[in-house]
Order: sequence, then structure tokens, then C-alpha cells
Amino acid sequence: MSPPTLQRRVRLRVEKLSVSYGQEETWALDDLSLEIYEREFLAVVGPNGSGKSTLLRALSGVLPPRARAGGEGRGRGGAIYLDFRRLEELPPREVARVIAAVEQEPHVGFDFAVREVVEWGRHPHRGRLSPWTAHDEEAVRRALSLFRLEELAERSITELSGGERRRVFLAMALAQEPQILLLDEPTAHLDLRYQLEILELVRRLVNEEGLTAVAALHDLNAALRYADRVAVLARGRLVACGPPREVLTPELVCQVWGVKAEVLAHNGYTFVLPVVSSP
Amino acid sequence: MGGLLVAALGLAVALGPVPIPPRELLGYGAQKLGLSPGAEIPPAHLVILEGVRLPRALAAALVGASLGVSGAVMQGIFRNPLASPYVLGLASGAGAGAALVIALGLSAGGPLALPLGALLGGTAAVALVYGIARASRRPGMPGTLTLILAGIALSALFSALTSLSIVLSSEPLKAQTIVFWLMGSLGRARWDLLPVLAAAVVVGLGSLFLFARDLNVLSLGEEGARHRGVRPERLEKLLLGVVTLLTGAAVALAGTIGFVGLITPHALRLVLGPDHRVLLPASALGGALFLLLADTAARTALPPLELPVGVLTALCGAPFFLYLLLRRPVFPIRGGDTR
Repeated sequence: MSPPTLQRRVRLRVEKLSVSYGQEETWALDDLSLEIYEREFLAVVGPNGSGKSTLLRALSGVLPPRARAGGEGRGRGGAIYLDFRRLEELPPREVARVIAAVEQEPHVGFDFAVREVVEWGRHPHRGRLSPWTAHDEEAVRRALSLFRLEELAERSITELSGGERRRVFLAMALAQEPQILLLDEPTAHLDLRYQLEILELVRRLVNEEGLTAVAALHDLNAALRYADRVAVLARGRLVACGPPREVLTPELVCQVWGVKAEVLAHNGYTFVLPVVSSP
Repeated sequence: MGGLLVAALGLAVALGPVPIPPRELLGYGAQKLGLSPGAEIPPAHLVILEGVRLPRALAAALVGASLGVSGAVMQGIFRNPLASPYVLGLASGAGAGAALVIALGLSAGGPLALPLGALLGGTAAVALVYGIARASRRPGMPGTLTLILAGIALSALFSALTSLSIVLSSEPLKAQTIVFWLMGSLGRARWDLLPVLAAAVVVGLGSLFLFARDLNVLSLGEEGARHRGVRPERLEKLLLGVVTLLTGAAVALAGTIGFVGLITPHALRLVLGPDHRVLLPASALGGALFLLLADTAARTALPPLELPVGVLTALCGAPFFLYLLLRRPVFPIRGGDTR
């Protein structure tokens, strides 16, 4: 878990990004600049409504690129670059071969089988008429096994529990064989064991396969334990960014979350322990 | 299912006020396929077969296939098993177009005036609904939801226009013609219109099938589909265009026949699963089968009366649909993306 060194390449560069959803004067993201390096695990933390999801959606390329008609400058300003190319100018298919994103609350409209959903991860890699290849099959098999979904593969996705369904969407994203993985609260609705398993898996893929991972997390202790760097958002602004142990201090937690907390070390791990809600 | 369709086709041309024995039909079929030199079929039967029943049966199959596959695509786009080919106001637009042609006496202008009016009305309605939905699109609202709402509003408007032209028709005959047209019938099937419909079905089915996998991925919602490299707006526009042409051609020929496009894909999805690579061709075949049988029943159930086939599809379709709803809990219907 070494901090990124200077040799590491920047994969995603966010430059003075501002995003607004409505007509109001509120900005979901406000003049935010950030660089995301290859082979790093970046955790994005911040209170509810601080702009974590918006940042992840912008990074995945789904936000409307320009200010919409009717508003004066509303919409999005600034730019995002994927490997020095403007993200919005790249075809979605090309982006999807590099970036796999899982939204906060993904869903499937019909009762497809688990295997079919995971197979959609191969969609950006396949031509309209190209046959299913051995490589496609292997990517799907591996994704199913990484999330231990083999037993559930033929079940309908609508029959699964919330936690099982979340693993299916993560498996679909991995079947996509991305270089960059964007996860919006991947551990939400999961029990303790799966929370650990998923973050450990992401950590392993970053270490062993050179994946770049960005995850919005609520759990500061998870960020401390698994992430190389942590980006702290508050009201759409980037408040701090750096190695978790340097960034997540009692002062910062108090300033951003309005919570009195202690930072403790135990057996080589560092913990943030919330004490009272209004200091 | 293909075999069933051929059997239903045979049944449809055999039954009627003058039954044609199966032996003659087989002989006729063998002759047409070049398997045997001559068929022993009385000239009177040949006239009924070639002049009346065969074009009507083929029309029923083609119209049914159009409606079935269109319904499957619409349900896929809207991620809602209750969508039908008519969600975007095509039926009421076509109805208003046809009513206008009849009320203004334009149908005297030739056999093509009525289908053309219906086709124009239908496509105009869909274009209007689509344009309005795009203009009113908000960042926080799924595009498909605004489409459905605009479709409902404009359907009501066009239905009102149709009713108005019925009431204002000076001659009772015109009003009656409009009402009968609205109920849908395959009695107008003629050989010269069939190739147009057949071409529409072949081209439409082929292009829709090419996008079956994209339609599967679209089940993830607009955002989820985009994450897999699909451009949802472009896909929706393309599919809606093809479906409008298919349904428009079907409606122009046969009037608005309800429930085929709603029931067929819905029932087949319960049996075959939601994969559009299977569901699209199956819905085309199933729709053809359903309408062919319904039309045969409509012609022969209460002789000498001929029931409008639209009445019959609704009479079987509605209870069957309710049965499906009661038999199996409907899975959660989502309006698309939550943001």
C-alpha cells in the first residue's frame, strides 16, 4: 500500500469540474480538480450530499457534457480527461472497454438470470454480429467465481437478496475487464463479511493486476485500511486529498462531518472512532 | 412454433362458409412449392382460396407478427411489461387520421387513401409525442417516463378528435365506417397491399433482431446501459422509429387491433424468459399465430355474422392478461432510472 510515486501515470484528470442538476444556485460539484493515478485505490469520502456520487458519475462519462438550454451556465463546466483525451468526446463503447462503473443502486428491469447479467459486461467488447468467444466465456466464469456466484448463476436476479444482487453487478463490472473500476458505495447493504471480501478483492486486483479503483465509501475505517489515497468532499468541494492516515485527522472529521472523533492505532491498524455527534 | 403457424394458416384458409377440404389444400400447397404438377381443386374453391382467404390469412399473420414484435420492443425500451405498440399514441393518431379521411370524404379518392391517412396520423402522433417528451426532458427525470406521459396526453387528444369527427359526420354511414374501422378488421386485406407489409415485416424484424442484445443491456436503465457502452437515446430513437413503421403499416392495413402486442410478448416472456434474442422472433411468430387464430374464429364463430377481430382479441386477451397477473406476482415495475 505504497503512496503513488511520481512515475505513475495519470489515468483520469478532473479539471475545475462544476456540475449542477437543477436551476438553483447549488452546485453538486464546485470547481473540483483531481488526478487519479494508474494502479491506485482512491477512496472518495464525505457526508451525504457532498458530491461523491456526482463525481463518480462524471468520471464514468454519463453526466450531460454541456450546460443545458434554458439555464445560464448550468450543467457542467470544466473537463475530465481519460489518458489526456476529453472523456465526453470518446464513444461510450470505447470508454466502457476501459472504465467499468457500478452505480449506487443498480437494477435490472426484467427477471434475467444472473449469468445473463454478468455476460452484459462483455457487451462493449463484442461487435453486433460477433460470436461469443472463449475469452468472453472465461471472463464471465472468472467474474462469477471471484464473487462466488457459480451456485446462483442460473437463478433469476429478481429472486436474490440485496447483497447477492450487489455482487452480481460487481461481477458484471469485472467481466468487463476494465482498467479502471468506479464503485459507488460498493459495500452498502452488504453484511460484514462481504464488505471485507469485496474491498479485499478490489485491493488485490489493484496490487496484482494493475487495476485502478475509485470507490465512494461511507466507512472511514475501510478507507483507512484499503485505500492508497482518500479524497474528502464537502458541499461539492475537494477539502483534502492524500494518504488516509495523513488526511483523516480528528480536526478534519470534525470540520467536515461535524462529529467529534478520536483516531486510534491498534495492532498496526488505524481507526476513526466517532465519539459524539455535536462537539 | 413455425409448424404451428403453418397449421394455423391451413386452418384459416380451410374454414369458412364454404369449407375447403384438407386434401385440396395439400395439393394446392404442393403445386405452389413445385412438388406436384397439377392440383385437383375445383375452380370455385380456387377463387375463394386465392381471392379471399389466402390474402386475408397472410395479412393476419403479417399484422400479428408486426404487433407482436413491436410490443416486445416497446416493453423492452420502457422496461415495463405493460407497454404496448400503441404507448406513444400511434393507435389514436392513426384512428384520428382514418376518421378524418372518412369524415372529409377523401376515401373516395382511391383504396390507398384510408391506409395512407392512418399511417400519416399514426406517425404524426408518435413524432409529436417524441418531440414533446424531448423538449420537456429534465435532468432528474427518466426519458422514458416523459415519453409515456406525453403519449397518454396526446392519445386522449387524438381520441377526442376522432370522437368529434364521428359526432360531426353529417351522414350516419360515415360515422359507422369510422367506428367499424376503429374496431380493426382484416377484411380489407388485398394482394396489392401485402408486399408492402411483408417488406416492412422482413426489414423491421431483421433490423430489430440486430439490436436484441442492446435491448437486453438496456434493462439496466439508461445509466447502467451507458456504462456498458450503449448509447440509450440513440438506441431508443432507432428502435422507436422501426417499431412506428412496422405498427404503422399494420394499422394502416387492418385498423387498430388491441392486445396482440401487449399479451403476446408478455406471455412469451413468462415462458421463454426475457432474453430479447429469443423473445423478439418468438413474439413475431406468436403474434402471427394469435391473430391468425383470432381472425379465423372471428369469421366463423357466429355465421353469417363476422365479428371485428379487434373485439375478439380484446375478448380473449383481457381475461388472459388478468389471469397472468393473478397467477404470478408481477415483478416490480420500475420507471427506469431513479435519477
